[in-house]
Amino acid sequence: MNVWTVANQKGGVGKTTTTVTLGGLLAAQGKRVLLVDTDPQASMSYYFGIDSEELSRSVYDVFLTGTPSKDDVLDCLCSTKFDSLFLLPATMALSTLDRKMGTQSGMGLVLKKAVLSIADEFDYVIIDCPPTLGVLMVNALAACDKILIPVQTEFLALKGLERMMHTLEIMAKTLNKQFSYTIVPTMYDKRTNAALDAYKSLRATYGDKVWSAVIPVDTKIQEASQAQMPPSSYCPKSRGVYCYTNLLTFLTKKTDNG
Amino acid sequence: MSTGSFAKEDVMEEYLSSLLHEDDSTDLIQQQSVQQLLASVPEKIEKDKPNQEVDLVETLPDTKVIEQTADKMEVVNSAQVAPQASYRQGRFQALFFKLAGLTLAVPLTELGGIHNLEKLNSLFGKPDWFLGIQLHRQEKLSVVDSAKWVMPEKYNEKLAESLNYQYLIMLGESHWGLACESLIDTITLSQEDVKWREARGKRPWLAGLVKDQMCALVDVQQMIALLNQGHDSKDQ
Repeated sequence: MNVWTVANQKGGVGKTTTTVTLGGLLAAQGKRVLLVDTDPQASMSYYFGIDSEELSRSVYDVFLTGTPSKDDVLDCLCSTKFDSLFLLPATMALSTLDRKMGTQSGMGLVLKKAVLSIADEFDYVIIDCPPTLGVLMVNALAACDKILIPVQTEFLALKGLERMMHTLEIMAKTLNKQFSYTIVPTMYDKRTNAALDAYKSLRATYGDKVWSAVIPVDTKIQEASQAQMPPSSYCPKSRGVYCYTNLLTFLTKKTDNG
Repeated sequence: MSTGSFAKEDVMEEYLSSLLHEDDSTDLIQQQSVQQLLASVPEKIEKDKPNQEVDLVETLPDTKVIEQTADKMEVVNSAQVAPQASYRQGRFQALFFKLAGLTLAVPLTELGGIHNLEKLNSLFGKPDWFLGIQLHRQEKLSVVDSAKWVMPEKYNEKLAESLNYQYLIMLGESHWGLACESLIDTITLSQEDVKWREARGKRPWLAGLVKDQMCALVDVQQMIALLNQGHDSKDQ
């Protein structure tokens, strides 16, 4: 099982879009995929036409167990229109977790235990993070074996990336492990010099940690969320999905090569 | 990765460290009895030391199950059986443990380890005596509901509710572990302390009966073979 976490401490950089699109593409390849939403805004559920506030169980219940069993996790999953694609949805209640459990030792490892408990059931688990550093993001980072960091190709986003990288640095020290991560330039608008400058700056600062291509601005992808469909299903021929397919090829090849 | 830093670096480190490290003081207390017990276990090679004093151990009274089992055991000449098992020569040590009022023993040479029983992950399509998987350092340990495996005919809802499994007794080099409620002790046995079984047709997993303690000595290799085949103790 591969566990990827999509994270950035800046909002609006394409985390949920990246999670949903990669998940949809993997499921289309026949992989058993679980998407985990840890953002209290629960926007990922919307892609699948699920109103998370009407669900009886969510990832919040998984956190409440502290040490979730396989059944605890499976009980909280939602199926989607796609046979091999499942969702562990978020709810607004997640936003209370920091106050409730943010000071309890070991609470950063609950999601890791949850994911390990269902290791036999899925080929890929992709975790979408909230844009703030807290118990949810720490859980998502501790649970994964690869981190994807979408970064909007504009100046302010680069500043946000510095904070994200430093969080990873401290976590790596705390966990005594090296994170494998890929920075994914998103919302690239080739008509603007600002986007080009930001991309150059990314490459200059982070070198080959930056994916060598970009995800372009694509209105079709924006329309997919309105249509409550993963972009890979709503607009499979779009330029955005084409680039995400290339990204997936890059990531899976990297995974296969260790 | 970056040259940036947080204004309150130490606060961040403390916060993350707290979230990412479990307070294991409770576990330590729970593990003490296991550690004390294991600390008292000499190296395995000591099993063959001559003139070693036989340790005395207080074990709980025998159960009907064991008596019935003992009645059915054929007492045979020790020279006739299981020459391949290392514990069939000279003195050997055995770990005694208990579940559902039943005491069992395994030779230490056949003991793969002892773990505290933790939360298990169940698997679909497994026999009803399969309690689940326990992860230990990336290793998957298969946990057997020992009471259900050993005495399925006695296993009912009342017995199931009364069980309080605490430890996992690992069988040899296998991934199989027997769930047990308590660890009693390790004692050194001589060949004469055991009524060895010859006929393995009915219960091949029984190596013999420890006379003083009136408890079953497990033939670990035979039990592993049965578990691998998905059999319970009565399936042969």
